[in-house]
Amino acid sequence: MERFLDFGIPGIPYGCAYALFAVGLVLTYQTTGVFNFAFGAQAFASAFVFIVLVQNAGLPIWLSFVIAVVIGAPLLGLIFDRFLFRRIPNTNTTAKVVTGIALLVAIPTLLPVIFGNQTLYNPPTLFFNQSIVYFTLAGYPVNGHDLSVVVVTAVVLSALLVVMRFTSLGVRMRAAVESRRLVELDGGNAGRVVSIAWAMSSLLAGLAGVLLAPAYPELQAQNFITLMVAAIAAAACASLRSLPRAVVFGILLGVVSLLLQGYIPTQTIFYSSALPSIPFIVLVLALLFVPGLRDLGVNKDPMSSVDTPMPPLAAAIRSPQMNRIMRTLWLTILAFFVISMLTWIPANWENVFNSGLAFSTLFLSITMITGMGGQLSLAQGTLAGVGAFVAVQLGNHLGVNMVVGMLIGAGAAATIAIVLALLSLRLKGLGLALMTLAAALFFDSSVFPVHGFTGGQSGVNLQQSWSAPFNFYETSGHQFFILAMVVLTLVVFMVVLVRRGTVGRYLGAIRGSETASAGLGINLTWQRLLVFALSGGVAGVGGTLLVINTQNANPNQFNYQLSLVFVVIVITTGVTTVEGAIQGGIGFVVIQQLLTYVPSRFQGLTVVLFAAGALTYARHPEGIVEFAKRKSTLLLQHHLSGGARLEDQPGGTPGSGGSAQAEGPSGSVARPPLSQSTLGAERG
Amino acid sequence: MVSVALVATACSSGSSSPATTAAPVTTTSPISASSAPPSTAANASVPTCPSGVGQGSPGVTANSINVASLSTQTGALAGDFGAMLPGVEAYFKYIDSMGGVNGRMLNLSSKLDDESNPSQYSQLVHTAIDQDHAFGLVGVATAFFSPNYLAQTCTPTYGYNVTGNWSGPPNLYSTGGTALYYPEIAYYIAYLMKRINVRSFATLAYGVAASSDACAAANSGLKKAGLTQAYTDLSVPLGGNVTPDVQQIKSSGAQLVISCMDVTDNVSLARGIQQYGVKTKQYWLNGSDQSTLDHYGSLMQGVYFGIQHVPLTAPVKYYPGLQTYLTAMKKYAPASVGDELAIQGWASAALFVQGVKNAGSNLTQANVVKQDNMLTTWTANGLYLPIDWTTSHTTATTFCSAYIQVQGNKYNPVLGQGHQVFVCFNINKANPVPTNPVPEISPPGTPGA
Repeated sequence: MERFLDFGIPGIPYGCAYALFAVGLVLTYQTTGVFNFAFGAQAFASAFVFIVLVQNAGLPIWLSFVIAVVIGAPLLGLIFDRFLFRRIPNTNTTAKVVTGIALLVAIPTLLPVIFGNQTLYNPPTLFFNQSIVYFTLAGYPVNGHDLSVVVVTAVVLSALLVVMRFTSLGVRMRAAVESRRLVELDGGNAGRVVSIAWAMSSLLAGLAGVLLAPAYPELQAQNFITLMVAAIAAAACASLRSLPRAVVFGILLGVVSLLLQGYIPTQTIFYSSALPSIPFIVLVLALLFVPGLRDLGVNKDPMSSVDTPMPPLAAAIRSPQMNRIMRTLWLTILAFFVISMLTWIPANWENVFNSGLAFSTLFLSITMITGMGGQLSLAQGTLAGVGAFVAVQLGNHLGVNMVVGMLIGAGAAATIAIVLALLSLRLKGLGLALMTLAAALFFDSSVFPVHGFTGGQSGVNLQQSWSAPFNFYETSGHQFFILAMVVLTLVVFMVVLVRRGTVGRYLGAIRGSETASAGLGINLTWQRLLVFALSGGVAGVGGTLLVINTQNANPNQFNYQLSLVFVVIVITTGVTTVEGAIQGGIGFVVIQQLLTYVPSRFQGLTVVLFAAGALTYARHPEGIVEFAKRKSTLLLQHHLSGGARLEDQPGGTPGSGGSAQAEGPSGSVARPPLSQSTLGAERG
Repeated sequence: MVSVALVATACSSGSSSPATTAAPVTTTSPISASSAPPSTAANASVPTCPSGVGQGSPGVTANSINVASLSTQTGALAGDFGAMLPGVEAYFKYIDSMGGVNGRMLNLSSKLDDESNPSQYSQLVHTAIDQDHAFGLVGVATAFFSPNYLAQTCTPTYGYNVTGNWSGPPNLYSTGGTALYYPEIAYYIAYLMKRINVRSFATLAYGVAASSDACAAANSGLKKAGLTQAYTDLSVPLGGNVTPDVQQIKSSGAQLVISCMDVTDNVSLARGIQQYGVKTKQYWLNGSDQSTLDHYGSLMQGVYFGIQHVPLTAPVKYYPGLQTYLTAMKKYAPASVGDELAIQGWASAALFVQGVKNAGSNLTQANVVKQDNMLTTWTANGLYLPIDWTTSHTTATTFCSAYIQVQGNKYNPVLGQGHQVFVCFNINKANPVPTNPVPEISPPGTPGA
């Protein structure tokens, strides 16, 4: 019993940190309908500003708190609401998730750009002094930080319960989540209610950030994001609905984690591999067995049908004349690119484009799973890593040639993807996104650290022998470029064939209506498994290409954060088209390279730029790049047609449709964009 | 996943090799007048670039030499690697203030940041070589170092070895030698335990090789030496809760806690130890930065460190190289004077400059590599144990450590003899068991000798 208390009691303040974040997630979801992936980033932002004000500007703690938390945090929330989330229809879960992810990856990158790279040590304590042990509880020295976290968690929970249950504001907030239009019809100001909800939840994020910062000797965004992913498990256990249950599960998670840490022998595989992944295992179990999570994101708004349908793709509105021009243009560009790569492009830029081709291949897996399959997967980077490490290990240990290894690696990634699909058969939208995120986190914490598989932190250096007879080190030989082009071309053809074939048409039907598709005899489970497997395999191929190019396979190339970044990139450039993936892959590395010409402080802006693009997803679900292409196509056709009114052209006005399908560049078939109802089945 | 960079300074190796055919440098005006010029070896025994590789002089003009740095300046790992660059910059400014090297000024033309992303690292290596046409890479500090393209082009490369990936190729240099030999750590700790009269120990490390390998080697060596391993956890989660470990340490009765973790978790560990009232001493492999001590001095009192360079509080009258370092750093990079990585950056830059100087008018990459590899008693101008670069790319031969302890607001040298801060051991690699370790005479050329 003594041992139980020894390890259990420290878990309470530890779990309260989870609980505070979990409460924030549930509160945001309950009051805004948004699962706020950016909550941890908001907390980090407040803590960052708070510490900078105290330590660099020399302001008093109370004034810094007022500026960073009382004013700054709600202001940030109001900005999120006014300029981002308010523009997203209540029913479009995918847009909300993508926007949250874009903020999650952008905020920690943007702050050093604004304030400069700096290490922030020893965050100041807000309430009770962390250095003082106030009392001892069953042998555990309760310090000021522990006391602060427990007390604030209790106060916050109580206050929120009062607001949500006993005030009209609480009722209106919950009603606004169901349907803003109904609230408006009832004479309420739904926009104002939602704004208040954002301000409240952001205030909580800021408070949590400043409160929890002293737990870490150095302020790092990673700490808050780690906290948040654990808190997601607690929030999921509470069905994203109950604040008290979120607190209870948060504390339980903390207590159980520390108890296991105390009881399990430290030199066992369970301790080193399974223990770190407990929150993610809990999340998976919650998603599987908590009934309320299965229909996350399913439309409840009876007035959702008034939403404006989305515009067609650029390729779908082109006139035959325009199509011919575009096809010629693309082929010319392609030929110019290939000839240039083989002749005059400097070695460094050749390497950049080679890397872009590898990323393009990887990104096509997102085109398949999200663009074609309508499923938002946050684990494509992980699947790419599985493929890459399998191929590398086969090559290094068994001397398997890399082409064979790539195929076997793709098979392994596809297998993992199938397991993931089986686990998430009953999940849609947000639930599926969380399941794939849990999988990515599980691999990051338990599989990729295994030294024998990934080489750990230093990764695995590729051996020259397994790439024989080609020499991929020698960039002037162009071998890698030829390999990457061949592989990418094959994958593009596969994607196009799948899209044009029965599978693609079935998937299109399923995106439109699962019920109707089932009624037509389409096996939904089989189709889902198929698209997961195909996208997993493509990711594995892309991952292998990536490590051949870098000559070193490192688990950090495939961590969950990069998986999120990959999604953000492809969403920005267009998730529904093959060219969107290729533009994303090439654009990602080219922008990164161009930023090497500016001071290092700005080099992280690549992610911010794509995140900014993804933030437009709500207005342009086809991708901001695709939107720009459509606009330019319309303008060009306007000139070619001798000045005919834009409205008279197909697709000239939003929602005006256009041809159902049109030949796109590179032989791809561009489809009409996914409707807001299809990505994640938001619309009922 | 976040990973960490850890124990390079603790387990790097130097070499003395007095038996090599050493010959004093005949040229005058060493780069630093603060120490004796390093000895050089005969051509025959020197590792060189592959035939036909590195024969050019990219980035070299009549008046300047363009050099690139590549490190993790942003992202999750910036705290572990970011501080190497100021040391490089300070050394280059110091040299340039004296007219440069052989009439050429040193130009750190690009400061590349891999943003804690291995794919970006790989691309930036190409950027430095193919786009920026850097003559060499100095101040390379990243967890993702991989030698492939650098070795293939035989680009002179100087940096911070945390992964073992530096070992082998003749053009890669890290302070202390590129060959890592972890068993030496057990000797340093065994000697410390003997001197402070403790018999049991606990070890804490992350589940990544750079951390766990070091502590595993300590466990193995110390146990074989008859010391008691009271507790070990080689899978501490990075940034996780160390409270259970502190409790286990308390109940185990360990008299010395050996931490192979990074500075932030070391501070959390120290806080736990203090608040639980655990009566144990601590030995950290990382974190001897003045800024850390300024912020967490109350938690760090009495903590021991093993370091490979002359402690910054050593008496400068015996260590003129230290005087030069401190003076230049205070002038050119005052915020980083007390940083344990900045001194590595300084040493990296110093080795590059020494190679360039010795190359003279035949300034090709291959020749700089060759000239550096001819150095048999390289001490970074009096800051490090002498390294024999004819062998230190592949073999660790001499094993010394300086001990420092937190006393007040300083890291003071301890356990040395007289003013000599380094304690050296003769390790039998066939059976590296540190039973009752007794210091050996430090190798010729050791600073302060």
